[in-house]
Amino acid sequence: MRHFSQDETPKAPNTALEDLLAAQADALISGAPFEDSLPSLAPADQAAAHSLMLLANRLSAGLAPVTPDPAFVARLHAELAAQASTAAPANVDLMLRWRNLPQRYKVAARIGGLTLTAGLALLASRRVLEALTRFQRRERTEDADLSLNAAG
Amino acid sequence: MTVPNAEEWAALEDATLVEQARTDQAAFGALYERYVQKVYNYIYYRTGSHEDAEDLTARVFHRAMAHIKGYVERGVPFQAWLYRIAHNLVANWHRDRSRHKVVPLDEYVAARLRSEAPESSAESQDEIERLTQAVRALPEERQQLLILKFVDRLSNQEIGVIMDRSEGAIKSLYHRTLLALREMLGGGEEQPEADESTGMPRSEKRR
Repeated sequence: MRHFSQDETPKAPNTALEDLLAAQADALISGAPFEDSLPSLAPADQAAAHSLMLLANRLSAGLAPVTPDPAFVARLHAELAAQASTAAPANVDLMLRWRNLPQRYKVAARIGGLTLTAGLALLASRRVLEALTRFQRRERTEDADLSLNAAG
Repeated sequence: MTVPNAEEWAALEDATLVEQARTDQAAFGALYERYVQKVYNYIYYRTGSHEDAEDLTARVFHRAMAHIKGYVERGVPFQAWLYRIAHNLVANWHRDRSRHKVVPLDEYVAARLRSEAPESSAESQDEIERLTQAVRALPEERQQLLILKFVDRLSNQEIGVIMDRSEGAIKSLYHRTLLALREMLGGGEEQPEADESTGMPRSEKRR
């Protein structure tokens, strides 16, 4: 869950008032009758609740749903259907295809994959070994040169 | 095995439809029919323009369809996933514009008249304009909360999943949002139609 930023943190949470407002909003959007429980609030909160509930009434009346143009809704539906019919073959899920493969194909694919990986690893290790050998040979040559110079 | 018709698709739960939608476009079509209006409403209220709402709604569903094979629920239901795509696209849309766009009054009022019966309207056009402008001046996440709650009529639990917060945090944010909005509107200057028995505003069916 996301945390509130500092300025969003409620200074003094008033759960009873929050619950009352939430219940009233639920009643407003469902059209159900709302039995308020103002007496359960502290006297100081009753006035605040009163004006906030009025404001919620105004919001409920003012923010009326709009209806999209039916032509737009139908056109978009047709576009989506057309997109689905053209995009389907290209969007085949690889994982889905793998799951649907027969078992022997999966085993063969795994063996093939392992063989290829082992071959590549062998090639790489040979290159590394050759490089190491060359390096050691060069070091020995340099040591020999130094000992000859010291003797001279 | 028979192919379900539109009504049978519509009766299925989201999770079943999502599973089917990976291979069957008709199932995605049913999800589209279920959510297109909600997504459109959300984007419309965040952008203030029907043109942009159409453009971004189309992008939301194209993106959802392109990625539905890779979608795994993991605590984020399809609806929340869709709203998160919409939210990200709207955020990019706002980033691409240097200034915050305000809903044009004539367009807003026309939309409202389209969606609401005249006799149920208790608010004057001026008041609606003032209220809408105040909502749109709120920080992004507070706007998001109010739109999801009052326009798309989602529960706190559903909003919490979309905004990646607990239900308690959403209640708290709603409370603070109302306080901020009341402050912006200049306090409770308007008196309610009071219930005679309690002295409190009557709850009423608005839509």
